[in-house]
Amino acid sequence: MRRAGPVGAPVTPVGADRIPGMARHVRLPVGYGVPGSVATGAVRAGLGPEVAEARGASPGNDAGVLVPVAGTPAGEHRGSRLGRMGDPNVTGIATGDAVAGRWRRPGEPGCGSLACVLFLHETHAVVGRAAAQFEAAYRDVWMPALAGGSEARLLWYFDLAHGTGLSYRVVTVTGIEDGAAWERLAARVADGDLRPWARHRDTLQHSSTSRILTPLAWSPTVGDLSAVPADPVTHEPVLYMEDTMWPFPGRLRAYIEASGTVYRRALESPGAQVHLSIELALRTLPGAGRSPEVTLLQKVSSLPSLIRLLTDGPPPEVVAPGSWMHEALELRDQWQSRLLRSAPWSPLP
Amino acid sequence: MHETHTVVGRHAARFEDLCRRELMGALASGDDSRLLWYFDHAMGSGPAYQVVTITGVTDGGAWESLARRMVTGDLADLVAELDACRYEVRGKLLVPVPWSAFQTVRLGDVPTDGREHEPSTFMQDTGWPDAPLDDYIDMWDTEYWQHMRRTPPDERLLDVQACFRVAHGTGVRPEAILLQKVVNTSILGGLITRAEKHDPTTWPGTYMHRSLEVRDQWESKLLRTSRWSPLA
Repeated sequence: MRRAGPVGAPVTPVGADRIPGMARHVRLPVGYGVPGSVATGAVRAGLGPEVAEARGASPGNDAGVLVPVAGTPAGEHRGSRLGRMGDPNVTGIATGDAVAGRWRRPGEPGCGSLACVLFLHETHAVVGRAAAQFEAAYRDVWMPALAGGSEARLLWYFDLAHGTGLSYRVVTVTGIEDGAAWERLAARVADGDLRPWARHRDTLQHSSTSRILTPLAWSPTVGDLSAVPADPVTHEPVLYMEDTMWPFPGRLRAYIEASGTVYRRALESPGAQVHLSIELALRTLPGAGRSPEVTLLQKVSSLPSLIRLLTDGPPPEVVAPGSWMHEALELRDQWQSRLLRSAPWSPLP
Repeated sequence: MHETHTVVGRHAARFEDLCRRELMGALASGDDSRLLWYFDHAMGSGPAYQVVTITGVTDGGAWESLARRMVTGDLADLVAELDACRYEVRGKLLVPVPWSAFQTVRLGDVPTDGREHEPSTFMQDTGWPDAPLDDYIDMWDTEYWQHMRRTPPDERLLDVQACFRVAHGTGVRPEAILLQKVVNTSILGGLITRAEKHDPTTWPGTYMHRSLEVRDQWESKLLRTSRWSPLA
Protein backbone atom coordinates (compact mmCIF):
# COMPACT_ATOMS: atom_id res chain seq x y z
CA MET A 1 0.00 0.00 0.00
CA ARG A 2 1.25 3.38 -0.88
CA ARG A 3 1.50 5.49 2.19
CA ALA A 4 0.27 8.98 2.49
CA GLY A 5 2.46 11.96 2.93
CA PRO A 6 3.74 12.99 6.32
CA VAL A 7 1.23 14.01 8.87
CA GLY A 8 1.56 17.66 9.57
CA ALA A 9 2.95 18.43 6.18
CA PRO A 10 3.28 22.12 5.48
CA VAL A 11 0.37 23.77 3.86
CA THR A 12 0.18 26.17 1.05
CA PRO A 13 -2.47 28.79 0.47
CA VAL A 14 -5.11 28.39 -2.15
CA GLY A 15 -4.23 31.74 -3.57
CA ALA A 16 -7.19 32.55 -5.77
CA ASP A 17 -9.65 30.72 -3.66
CA ARG A 18 -10.04 33.04 -0.78
CA ILE A 19 -13.23 32.12 0.98
CA PRO A 20 -15.56 35.10 1.03
CA GLY A 21 -15.82 36.63 4.43
CA MET A 22 -12.94 34.68 5.84
CA ALA A 23 -10.08 36.37 7.53
CA ARG A 24 -7.44 34.17 5.99
CA HIS A 25 -6.78 32.27 2.87
CA VAL A 26 -7.70 28.63 3.00
CA ARG A 27 -4.62 26.56 3.06
CA LEU A 28 -4.54 23.04 1.82
CA PRO A 29 -1.88 20.40 2.27
CA VAL A 30 1.05 20.49 -0.08
CA GLY A 31 0.42 18.13 -2.90
CA TYR A 32 -3.27 18.58 -2.56
CA GLY A 33 -4.92 16.33 -5.00
CA VAL A 34 -1.67 14.93 -6.27
CA PRO A 35 -1.09 11.20 -6.16
CA GLY A 36 1.11 10.13 -3.33
CA SER A 37 0.67 13.26 -1.34
CA VAL A 38 -0.84 13.90 2.02
CA ALA A 39 -4.07 12.09 2.33
CA THR A 40 -5.15 8.56 2.92
CA GLY A 41 -8.76 7.81 3.59
CA ALA A 42 -9.74 11.30 4.35
CA VAL A 43 -13.47 11.10 4.63
CA ARG A 44 -14.51 10.16 8.14
CA ALA A 45 -17.78 9.22 9.58
CA GLY A 46 -19.55 12.39 10.50
CA LEU A 47 -17.00 14.65 8.99
CA GLY A 48 -18.29 14.72 5.46
CA PRO A 49 -16.51 14.72 2.19
CA GLU A 50 -14.84 18.02 2.70
CA VAL A 51 -12.27 16.14 4.69
CA ALA A 52 -11.46 14.35 1.51
CA GLU A 53 -10.95 17.63 -0.20
CA ALA A 54 -8.65 18.96 2.42
CA ARG A 55 -6.59 15.82 2.44
CA GLY A 56 -6.40 15.33 -1.24
CA ALA A 57 -8.43 12.21 -0.64
CA SER A 58 -6.01 9.79 -2.15
CA PRO A 59 -6.92 6.27 -1.22
CA GLY A 60 -3.33 5.46 -1.90
CA ASN A 61 -3.53 1.74 -2.34
CA ASP A 62 -3.41 -0.77 -5.11
CA ALA A 63 -7.00 -1.85 -4.99
CA GLY A 64 -9.26 1.04 -5.38
CA VAL A 65 -7.10 3.92 -6.36
CA LEU A 66 -8.59 5.88 -9.20
CA VAL A 67 -6.44 7.53 -11.74
CA PRO A 68 -7.44 10.12 -14.26
CA VAL A 69 -7.89 8.87 -17.75
CA ALA A 70 -4.91 9.95 -19.76
CA GLY A 71 -5.68 12.93 -21.86
CA THR A 72 -8.98 13.63 -20.17
CA PRO A 73 -9.54 17.35 -20.03
CA ALA A 74 -9.50 18.75 -16.56
CA GLY A 75 -13.09 19.79 -16.79
CA GLU A 76 -14.15 16.23 -17.38
CA HIS A 77 -12.40 14.61 -14.48
CA ARG A 78 -15.34 14.97 -12.18
CA GLY A 79 -17.64 13.23 -14.53
CA SER A 80 -15.21 10.52 -15.30
CA ARG A 81 -15.20 8.69 -12.01
CA LEU A 82 -18.20 6.50 -11.82
CA GLY A 83 -17.29 3.78 -9.42
CA ARG A 84 -19.71 0.95 -8.75
CA MET A 85 -20.53 -0.94 -5.62
CA GLY A 86 -19.68 -4.18 -7.26
CA ASP A 87 -16.50 -2.92 -8.73
CA PRO A 88 -14.27 -2.06 -5.82
CA ASN A 89 -11.00 -2.60 -7.56
CA VAL A 90 -11.41 -0.19 -10.35
CA THR A 91 -8.07 1.16 -11.42
CA GLY A 92 -9.09 3.17 -14.41
CA ILE A 93 -12.36 4.71 -15.40
CA ALA A 94 -13.71 5.73 -18.71
CA THR A 95 -15.46 9.02 -19.14
CA GLY A 96 -18.82 9.58 -17.55
CA ASP A 97 -20.47 9.69 -20.92
CA ALA A 98 -19.08 6.31 -21.81
CA VAL A 99 -20.03 4.63 -18.57
CA ALA A 100 -23.09 5.96 -16.90
CA GLY A 101 -23.07 9.69 -16.84
CA ARG A 102 -24.81 10.30 -20.11
CA TRP A 103 -27.39 12.51 -18.49
CA ARG A 104 -24.76 14.85 -17.30
CA ARG A 105 -22.63 16.84 -19.62
CA PRO A 106 -19.10 17.06 -18.33
CA GLY A 107 -17.71 20.50 -18.79
CA GLU A 108 -21.11 21.97 -19.45
CA PRO A 109 -21.62 25.39 -17.92
CA GLY A 110 -23.39 25.31 -14.61
CA CYS A 111 -27.05 25.96 -14.16
CA GLY A 112 -28.20 29.28 -12.84
CA SER A 113 -31.05 30.41 -15.00
CA LEU A 114 -34.79 30.32 -14.66
CA ALA A 115 -34.78 27.35 -16.99
CA CYS A 116 -33.16 25.12 -14.35
CA VAL A 117 -34.91 21.95 -13.42
CA LEU A 118 -36.53 21.76 -10.00
CA PHE A 119 -35.56 18.76 -7.92
CA LEU A 120 -38.29 17.30 -5.72
CA HIS A 121 -36.35 15.53 -2.99
CA GLU A 122 -38.25 13.18 -0.68
CA THR A 123 -37.08 11.18 2.28
CA HIS A 124 -39.48 8.40 3.13
CA ALA A 125 -39.76 6.56 6.43
CA VAL A 126 -41.01 3.29 5.01
CA VAL A 127 -43.02 0.64 6.81
CA GLY A 128 -40.46 -2.12 7.03
CA ARG A 129 -42.75 -4.99 6.16
CA ALA A 130 -44.03 -3.04 3.16
CA ALA A 131 -40.64 -2.03 1.80
CA ALA A 132 -40.97 -4.11 -1.35
CA GLN A 133 -44.44 -2.76 -2.03
CA PHE A 134 -43.22 0.76 -1.50
CA GLU A 135 -40.45 0.29 -4.01
CA ALA A 136 -42.92 -1.22 -6.46
CA ALA A 137 -45.20 1.78 -6.04
CA TYR A 138 -42.45 4.02 -7.36
CA ARG A 139 -41.13 1.64 -10.00
CA ASP A 140 -44.46 0.48 -11.37
CA VAL A 141 -46.69 3.50 -10.89
CA TRP A 142 -44.92 6.77 -10.14
CA MET A 143 -42.14 6.40 -12.71
CA PRO A 144 -44.39 5.49 -15.65
CA ALA A 145 -47.04 7.99 -14.55
CA LEU A 146 -44.59 10.78 -15.21
CA ALA A 147 -43.68 9.46 -18.64
CA GLY A 148 -46.74 10.80 -20.36
CA GLY A 149 -45.13 14.17 -20.88
CA SER A 150 -41.70 15.68 -20.77
CA GLU A 151 -42.09 17.96 -17.79
CA ALA A 152 -41.26 15.54 -14.97
CA ARG A 153 -39.24 12.38 -14.46
CA LEU A 154 -38.26 10.19 -11.57
CA LEU A 155 -34.48 10.52 -11.55
CA TRP A 156 -33.21 8.45 -8.63
CA TYR A 157 -34.55 5.90 -6.22
CA PHE A 158 -32.14 5.37 -3.33
CA ASP A 159 -32.06 3.17 -0.28
CA LEU A 160 -30.22 4.56 2.70
CA ALA A 161 -27.59 1.89 3.28
CA HIS A 162 -28.47 -0.23 6.30
CA GLY A 163 -25.86 0.12 8.97
CA THR A 164 -25.21 3.77 8.28
CA GLY A 165 -28.28 5.48 9.65
CA LEU A 166 -32.00 5.19 10.15
CA SER A 167 -33.66 2.00 9.02
CA TYR A 168 -35.96 1.71 6.04
CA ARG A 169 -35.28 5.15 4.68
CA VAL A 170 -35.75 5.73 0.98
CA VAL A 171 -34.79 8.86 -0.88
CA THR A 172 -36.43 9.69 -4.20
CA VAL A 173 -35.50 12.57 -6.47
CA THR A 174 -37.92 13.69 -9.15
CA GLY A 175 -36.93 16.27 -11.74
CA ILE A 176 -39.58 18.80 -12.70
CA GLU A 177 -39.40 21.31 -15.50
CA ASP A 178 -40.58 24.40 -13.61
CA GLY A 179 -42.99 25.74 -11.03
CA ALA A 180 -46.02 25.43 -13.26
CA ALA A 181 -45.18 21.80 -13.98
CA TRP A 182 -44.74 21.20 -10.27
CA GLU A 183 -48.17 22.65 -9.59
CA ARG A 184 -49.72 20.34 -12.16
CA LEU A 185 -47.97 17.36 -10.63
CA ALA A 186 -49.05 18.36 -7.12
CA ALA A 187 -52.64 18.67 -8.33
CA ARG A 188 -52.48 15.17 -9.81
CA VAL A 189 -51.37 13.88 -6.41
CA ALA A 190 -53.94 15.84 -4.42
CA ASP A 191 -57.03 15.43 -6.57
CA GLY A 192 -56.15 13.79 -9.86
CA ASP A 193 -55.11 10.50 -11.33
CA LEU A 194 -52.31 10.00 -8.78
CA ARG A 195 -54.54 10.43 -5.76
CA PRO A 196 -55.18 6.68 -5.36
CA TRP A 197 -51.45 6.10 -5.63
CA ALA A 198 -50.78 8.69 -2.94
CA ARG A 199 -53.39 7.12 -0.69
CA HIS A 200 -51.82 3.72 -1.21
CA ARG A 201 -48.41 5.17 -0.48
CA ASP A 202 -49.72 6.54 2.80
CA THR A 203 -50.21 2.95 3.92
CA LEU A 204 -46.66 1.98 2.96
CA GLN A 205 -44.77 4.77 4.69
CA HIS A 206 -44.90 6.28 8.13
CA SER A 207 -44.21 9.69 6.68
CA SER A 208 -42.18 11.51 4.10
CA THR A 209 -40.34 14.80 4.28
CA SER A 210 -39.97 16.67 1.03
CA ARG A 211 -38.32 19.78 -0.31
CA ILE A 212 -37.76 21.38 -3.66
CA LEU A 213 -34.21 22.20 -4.63
CA THR A 214 -32.56 24.22 -7.34
CA PRO A 215 -29.03 23.79 -8.66
CA LEU A 216 -26.27 26.13 -7.59
CA ALA A 217 -24.77 28.16 -10.38
CA TRP A 218 -21.77 25.85 -10.53
CA SER A 219 -23.66 22.56 -10.33
CA PRO A 220 -23.47 19.88 -13.02
CA THR A 221 -26.77 19.28 -14.74
CA VAL A 222 -28.86 16.22 -15.48
CA GLY A 223 -29.65 17.18 -19.05
CA ASP A 224 -33.02 16.93 -20.70
CA LEU A 225 -35.72 15.34 -18.60
CA SER A 226 -37.34 13.82 -21.64
CA ALA A 227 -34.22 11.74 -22.19
CA VAL A 228 -34.42 10.09 -18.78
CA PRO A 229 -35.79 6.56 -19.07
CA ALA A 230 -39.24 5.98 -17.70
CA ASP A 231 -39.10 2.21 -18.01
CA PRO A 232 -37.19 0.08 -15.55
CA VAL A 233 -33.56 -0.22 -16.50
CA THR A 234 -31.08 -2.58 -14.99
CA HIS A 235 -27.68 -1.51 -13.82
CA GLU A 236 -25.36 -2.05 -10.94
CA PRO A 237 -26.25 -0.13 -7.81
CA VAL A 238 -24.17 2.96 -7.29
CA LEU A 239 -23.22 4.41 -3.94
CA TYR A 240 -23.63 8.09 -3.24
CA MET A 241 -22.73 10.31 -0.34
CA GLU A 242 -25.39 12.94 0.13
CA ASP A 243 -24.22 15.86 2.26
CA THR A 244 -26.64 18.43 3.58
CA MET A 245 -25.11 21.51 5.15
CA TRP A 246 -26.64 24.26 7.22
CA PRO A 247 -24.46 27.39 7.13
CA PHE A 248 -24.50 29.91 9.94
CA PRO A 249 -26.96 32.80 9.84
CA GLY A 250 -26.05 35.17 7.06
CA ARG A 251 -23.29 32.94 5.66
CA LEU A 252 -25.17 31.05 2.98
CA ARG A 253 -23.81 33.08 0.10
CA ALA A 254 -20.28 32.80 1.36
CA TYR A 255 -20.64 29.07 1.83
CA ILE A 256 -22.04 28.55 -1.65
CA GLU A 257 -19.21 30.54 -3.15
CA ALA A 258 -16.58 28.78 -1.09
CA SER A 259 -17.91 25.33 -1.84
CA GLY A 260 -17.80 26.14 -5.53
CA THR A 261 -14.44 27.81 -5.69
CA VAL A 262 -12.59 25.68 -3.17
CA TYR A 263 -14.31 22.37 -2.61
CA ARG A 264 -15.56 21.69 -6.10
CA ARG A 265 -12.40 22.90 -7.73
CA ALA A 266 -10.39 20.59 -5.56
CA LEU A 267 -12.42 17.59 -6.64
CA GLU A 268 -11.92 18.60 -10.24
CA SER A 269 -8.22 19.32 -10.04
CA PRO A 270 -6.20 17.78 -12.86
CA GLY A 271 -4.35 14.82 -11.49
CA ALA A 272 -6.41 14.71 -8.37
CA GLN A 273 -7.12 11.32 -6.91
CA VAL A 274 -10.53 11.70 -5.42
CA HIS A 275 -13.24 9.30 -4.59
CA LEU A 276 -16.23 11.59 -4.82
CA SER A 277 -17.70 13.31 -7.81
CA ILE A 278 -20.37 15.95 -7.45
CA GLU A 279 -23.42 15.01 -9.47
CA LEU A 280 -25.60 17.83 -8.22
CA ALA A 281 -25.06 20.83 -5.98
CA LEU A 282 -28.34 22.23 -4.74
CA ARG A 283 -29.95 24.74 -2.45
CA THR A 284 -33.40 24.57 -1.00
CA LEU A 285 -35.89 26.98 -2.50
CA PRO A 286 -37.80 29.42 -0.29
CA GLY A 287 -41.14 28.05 0.73
CA ALA A 288 -40.21 24.45 0.05
CA GLY A 289 -37.92 23.38 2.84
CA ARG A 290 -35.30 24.68 5.19
CA SER A 291 -32.89 27.54 4.66
CA PRO A 292 -30.00 28.12 4.80
CA GLU A 293 -29.38 24.66 3.39
CA VAL A 294 -27.10 23.26 0.72
CA THR A 295 -27.16 19.67 -0.52
CA LEU A 296 -24.43 17.91 -2.44
CA LEU A 297 -25.16 14.64 -4.19
CA GLN A 298 -21.83 12.96 -4.70
CA LYS A 299 -21.01 9.70 -6.34
CA VAL A 300 -18.59 7.46 -4.45
CA SER A 301 -15.91 6.23 -6.76
CA SER A 302 -14.05 3.78 -4.56
CA LEU A 303 -15.59 1.55 -1.93
CA PRO A 304 -12.30 0.49 -0.32
CA SER A 305 -11.25 4.06 0.12
CA LEU A 306 -14.64 4.92 1.57
CA ILE A 307 -14.32 2.16 4.13
CA ARG A 308 -10.95 3.49 5.12
CA LEU A 309 -12.39 6.92 5.36
CA LEU A 310 -15.06 5.63 7.69
CA THR A 311 -12.68 3.78 9.93
CA ASP A 312 -9.64 6.08 10.16
CA GLY A 313 -9.59 9.37 11.92
CA PRO A 314 -8.79 12.63 10.23
CA PRO A 315 -5.11 13.52 10.32
CA PRO A 316 -4.21 16.61 12.25
CA GLU A 317 -3.44 18.68 9.20
CA VAL A 318 -6.99 18.29 7.99
CA VAL A 319 -8.44 20.11 10.95
CA ALA A 320 -5.48 22.32 11.70
CA PRO A 321 -5.66 26.09 11.33
CA GLY A 322 -5.28 26.98 7.68
CA SER A 323 -7.08 23.94 6.38
CA TRP A 324 -10.42 24.10 4.57
CA MET A 325 -12.02 22.10 7.33
CA HIS A 326 -10.83 24.53 9.93
CA GLU A 327 -11.39 27.77 8.09
CA ALA A 328 -14.78 26.77 6.76
CA LEU A 329 -15.91 26.51 10.36
CA GLU A 330 -16.53 30.22 10.03
CA LEU A 331 -19.28 29.35 7.58
CA ARG A 332 -20.78 26.17 8.99
CA ASP A 333 -20.19 23.41 11.46
CA GLN A 334 -23.35 21.34 11.06
CA TRP A 335 -24.04 18.93 8.27
CA GLN A 336 -25.32 15.43 7.71
CA SER A 337 -23.86 12.77 5.47
CA ARG A 338 -25.98 9.90 4.21
CA LEU A 339 -24.81 6.93 2.21
CA LEU A 340 -27.42 6.22 -0.45
CA ARG A 341 -27.45 3.27 -2.81
CA SER A 342 -29.35 3.57 -6.06
CA ALA A 343 -31.80 0.81 -6.88
CA PRO A 344 -30.84 -1.39 -9.85
CA TRP A 345 -33.82 0.04 -11.75
CA SER A 346 -33.30 3.66 -10.74
CA PRO A 347 -33.61 5.73 -13.93
CA LEU A 348 -30.30 7.38 -13.21
CA PRO A 349 -27.74 5.00 -11.74
CA MET B 1 -46.20 29.97 1.33
CA HIS B 2 -45.94 29.22 5.02
CA GLU B 3 -42.62 29.99 6.69
CA THR B 4 -41.50 29.49 10.26
CA HIS B 5 -38.53 31.67 11.16
CA THR B 6 -36.25 31.01 14.10
CA VAL B 7 -35.09 34.56 14.74
CA VAL B 8 -31.92 35.71 16.46
CA GLY B 9 -33.32 37.32 19.58
CA ARG B 10 -31.18 40.42 19.53
CA HIS B 11 -32.12 40.98 15.89
CA ALA B 12 -35.84 40.42 16.32
CA ALA B 13 -36.78 44.07 15.84
CA ARG B 14 -34.57 44.33 12.79
CA PHE B 15 -36.12 41.19 11.32
CA GLU B 16 -39.63 42.50 11.78
CA ASP B 17 -38.68 45.88 10.36
CA LEU B 18 -37.21 44.28 7.25
CA CYS B 19 -40.38 42.32 6.71
CA ARG B 20 -42.55 45.37 7.23
CA ARG B 21 -40.51 48.02 5.46
CA GLU B 22 -38.86 46.00 2.73
CA LEU B 23 -40.37 42.60 2.06
CA MET B 24 -44.04 43.54 2.14
CA GLY B 25 -43.48 46.34 -0.34
CA ALA B 26 -41.25 44.26 -2.58
CA LEU B 27 -43.91 41.59 -2.87
CA ALA B 28 -46.43 44.28 -3.78
CA SER B 29 -44.46 45.25 -6.88
CA GLY B 30 -46.31 42.58 -8.85
CA ASP B 31 -49.78 41.16 -8.78
CA ASP B 32 -49.00 37.51 -8.09
CA SER B 33 -47.81 37.53 -4.48
CA ARG B 34 -48.56 39.34 -1.21
CA LEU B 35 -47.52 39.01 2.38
CA LEU B 36 -50.75 38.01 4.14
CA TRP B 37 -49.93 37.37 7.80
CA TYR B 38 -47.04 38.15 10.08
CA PHE B 39 -47.31 36.25 13.37
CA ASP B 40 -45.23 36.12 16.51
CA HIS B 41 -45.38 32.83 18.36
CA ALA B 42 -46.78 33.92 21.72
CA MET B 43 -43.96 33.85 24.24
CA GLY B 44 -44.76 31.56 27.12
CA SER B 45 -46.46 29.02 24.91
CA GLY B 46 -43.57 27.56 22.94
CA PRO B 47 -40.25 28.44 21.38
CA ALA B 48 -38.78 31.90 21.85
CA TYR B 49 -38.37 34.33 18.99
CA GLN B 50 -40.27 32.32 16.46
CA VAL B 51 -42.10 34.14 13.69
CA VAL B 52 -44.57 32.67 11.21
CA THR B 53 -45.30 34.40 7.92
CA ILE B 54 -47.80 33.39 5.30
CA THR B 55 -47.38 34.76 1.80
CA GLY B 56 -50.06 34.30 -0.82
CA VAL B 57 -48.97 33.35 -4.33
CA THR B 58 -51.33 32.87 -7.22
CA ASP B 59 -49.96 29.57 -8.58
CA GLY B 60 -46.93 27.35 -9.00
CA GLY B 61 -45.32 29.59 -11.56
CA ALA B 62 -45.71 32.60 -9.29
CA TRP B 63 -44.11 30.68 -6.44
CA GLU B 64 -41.15 29.70 -8.58
CA SER B 65 -40.77 33.27 -9.78
CA LEU B 66 -40.81 34.55 -6.20
CA ALA B 67 -38.41 31.85 -5.04
CA ARG B 68 -35.92 32.68 -7.76
CA ARG B 69 -36.20 36.40 -7.01
CA MET B 70 -35.26 35.53 -3.46
CA VAL B 71 -32.42 33.21 -4.40
CA THR B 72 -30.71 35.00 -7.25
CA GLY B 73 -32.87 37.97 -8.20
CA ASP B 74 -33.77 41.40 -6.95
CA LEU B 75 -34.76 40.10 -3.50
CA ALA B 76 -31.53 38.20 -2.87
CA ASP B 77 -29.89 41.04 -0.95
CA LEU B 78 -32.96 41.49 1.22
CA VAL B 79 -33.09 37.77 1.92
CA ALA B 80 -29.42 37.86 2.85
CA GLU B 81 -30.25 40.57 5.40
CA LEU B 82 -33.11 38.48 6.72
CA ASP B 83 -30.83 35.46 6.88
CA ALA B 84 -28.46 37.44 9.07
CA CYS B 85 -31.32 37.98 11.52
CA ARG B 86 -32.46 34.37 11.78
CA TYR B 87 -31.00 31.00 12.51
CA GLU B 88 -33.15 29.29 9.95
CA VAL B 89 -36.43 29.36 8.12
CA ARG B 90 -38.58 26.35 7.26
CA GLY B 91 -41.09 26.76 4.48
CA LYS B 92 -43.88 24.77 2.91
CA LEU B 93 -46.53 25.44 0.34
CA LEU B 94 -50.10 24.99 1.48
CA VAL B 95 -53.29 24.61 -0.49
CA PRO B 96 -56.79 24.86 0.99
CA VAL B 97 -58.72 21.63 1.29
CA PRO B 98 -62.08 21.61 -0.54
CA TRP B 99 -64.18 22.33 2.53
CA SER B 100 -61.99 25.12 3.88
CA ALA B 101 -63.78 28.43 4.34
CA PHE B 102 -60.65 30.15 3.15
CA GLN B 103 -60.19 29.27 -0.50
CA THR B 104 -58.68 32.31 -2.11
CA VAL B 105 -57.82 35.91 -1.45
CA ARG B 106 -57.88 38.88 -3.78
CA LEU B 107 -54.25 39.78 -3.59
CA GLY B 108 -54.91 43.23 -4.97
CA ASP B 109 -57.06 44.00 -1.94
CA VAL B 110 -54.46 43.03 0.62
CA PRO B 111 -53.02 46.10 2.37
CA THR B 112 -49.36 46.78 1.74
CA ASP B 113 -48.98 50.06 3.60
CA GLY B 114 -48.41 48.69 7.08
CA ARG B 115 -51.59 50.13 8.51
CA GLU B 116 -52.04 49.20 12.13
CA HIS B 117 -54.78 47.34 13.94
CA GLU B 118 -55.30 45.43 17.13
CA PRO B 119 -53.46 42.13 17.17
CA SER B 120 -55.41 38.91 16.82
CA THR B 121 -54.54 35.57 18.31
CA PHE B 122 -54.69 32.39 16.29
CA MET B 123 -54.34 28.75 17.19
CA GLN B 124 -52.49 26.95 14.44
CA ASP B 125 -52.97 23.20 14.71
CA THR B 126 -50.69 20.94 12.70
CA GLY B 127 -51.67 17.30 12.68
CA TRP B 128 -49.92 14.18 11.55
CA PRO B 129 -52.35 11.28 11.10
CA ASP B 130 -51.47 7.64 11.14
CA ALA B 131 -54.27 7.00 8.66
CA PRO B 132 -54.34 8.08 5.01
CA LEU B 133 -54.23 11.84 4.78
CA ASP B 134 -57.54 12.08 2.95
CA ASP B 135 -59.29 10.28 5.79
CA TYR B 136 -57.86 12.74 8.29
CA ILE B 137 -58.98 15.75 6.29
CA ASP B 138 -62.44 14.26 5.89
CA MET B 139 -62.61 13.65 9.62
CA TRP B 140 -61.70 17.26 10.31
CA ASP B 141 -64.63 18.29 8.14
CA THR B 142 -67.34 16.00 9.43
CA GLU B 143 -66.27 15.62 13.04
CA TYR B 144 -64.55 18.89 13.87
CA TRP B 145 -65.47 21.76 11.61
CA GLN B 146 -69.12 20.87 11.34
CA HIS B 147 -69.29 20.54 15.11
CA MET B 148 -67.58 23.89 15.61
CA ARG B 149 -70.05 25.55 13.27
CA ARG B 150 -72.96 24.21 15.33
CA THR B 151 -71.50 25.41 18.61
CA PRO B 152 -73.36 28.47 20.00
CA PRO B 153 -71.34 31.65 19.51
CA ASP B 154 -70.91 32.32 23.21
CA GLU B 155 -69.42 28.86 23.67
CA ARG B 156 -66.98 29.08 20.82
CA LEU B 157 -63.30 29.19 21.45
CA LEU B 158 -62.19 29.17 17.84
CA ASP B 159 -63.30 30.31 14.44
CA VAL B 160 -61.89 27.81 11.95
CA GLN B 161 -60.77 30.14 9.20
CA ALA B 162 -58.75 27.82 7.01
CA CYS B 163 -57.68 24.24 6.58
CA PHE B 164 -54.68 23.42 4.45
CA ARG B 165 -52.85 20.42 3.17
CA VAL B 166 -49.17 20.51 2.30
CA ALA B 167 -48.61 20.69 -1.43
CA HIS B 168 -46.80 17.67 -2.75
CA GLY B 169 -43.08 17.84 -2.38
CA THR B 170 -42.83 20.81 -0.06
CA GLY B 171 -43.01 19.37 3.42
CA VAL B 172 -44.22 16.50 5.52
CA ARG B 173 -46.82 14.01 4.44
CA PRO B 174 -49.16 13.17 6.01
CA GLU B 175 -49.75 16.63 7.46
CA ALA B 176 -52.62 19.08 7.53
CA ILE B 177 -53.05 22.47 9.17
CA LEU B 178 -55.91 24.34 10.75
CA LEU B 179 -55.67 28.11 11.09
CA GLN B 180 -58.16 29.18 13.73
CA LYS B 181 -58.80 32.57 15.23
CA VAL B 182 -59.24 32.65 18.98
CA VAL B 183 -62.59 34.37 19.50
CA ASN B 184 -62.97 33.97 23.25
CA THR B 185 -59.89 34.35 25.39
CA SER B 186 -61.67 33.39 28.59
CA ILE B 187 -62.49 30.01 27.11
CA LEU B 188 -58.87 29.74 26.04
CA GLY B 189 -57.86 30.38 29.63
CA GLY B 190 -60.27 27.72 30.76
CA LEU B 191 -58.93 25.24 28.24
CA ILE B 192 -55.46 25.77 29.62
CA THR B 193 -56.24 25.84 33.31
CA ARG B 194 -59.40 23.82 33.85
CA ALA B 195 -58.83 20.65 32.01
CA GLU B 196 -61.66 18.83 33.72
CA LYS B 197 -64.21 21.31 32.37
CA HIS B 198 -62.69 22.10 29.03
CA ASP B 199 -61.07 18.82 28.20
CA PRO B 200 -61.98 18.32 24.55
CA THR B 201 -62.55 14.64 25.19
CA THR B 202 -65.75 15.65 26.96
CA TRP B 203 -67.07 17.77 24.13
CA PRO B 204 -70.37 16.76 22.58
CA GLY B 205 -69.95 14.17 19.93
CA THR B 206 -66.78 12.85 21.53
CA TYR B 207 -64.79 14.07 18.57
CA MET B 208 -61.57 13.63 20.46
CA HIS B 209 -62.27 9.97 21.07
CA ARG B 210 -63.29 9.11 17.55
CA SER B 211 -60.46 11.02 16.01
CA LEU B 212 -58.01 8.80 17.82
CA GLU B 213 -58.78 6.35 15.06
CA VAL B 214 -56.84 8.51 12.63
CA ARG B 215 -54.38 10.52 14.72
CA ASP B 216 -52.98 11.15 18.14
CA GLN B 217 -50.14 13.51 17.30
CA TRP B 218 -50.54 17.20 16.63
CA GLU B 219 -49.07 20.49 17.68
CA SER B 220 -50.92 23.66 18.61
CA LYS B 221 -49.21 27.00 18.28
CA LEU B 222 -50.59 30.23 19.64
CA LEU B 223 -49.74 32.89 17.11
CA ARG B 224 -50.36 36.61 17.53
CA THR B 225 -50.53 38.86 14.52
CA SER B 226 -48.34 41.91 14.52
CA ARG B 227 -50.18 45.22 14.56
CA TRP B 228 -49.20 45.81 10.95
CA SER B 229 -49.90 42.30 9.64
CA PRO B 230 -51.80 42.77 6.37
CA LEU B 231 -54.46 40.32 7.52
CA ALA B 232 -55.55 40.10 11.13
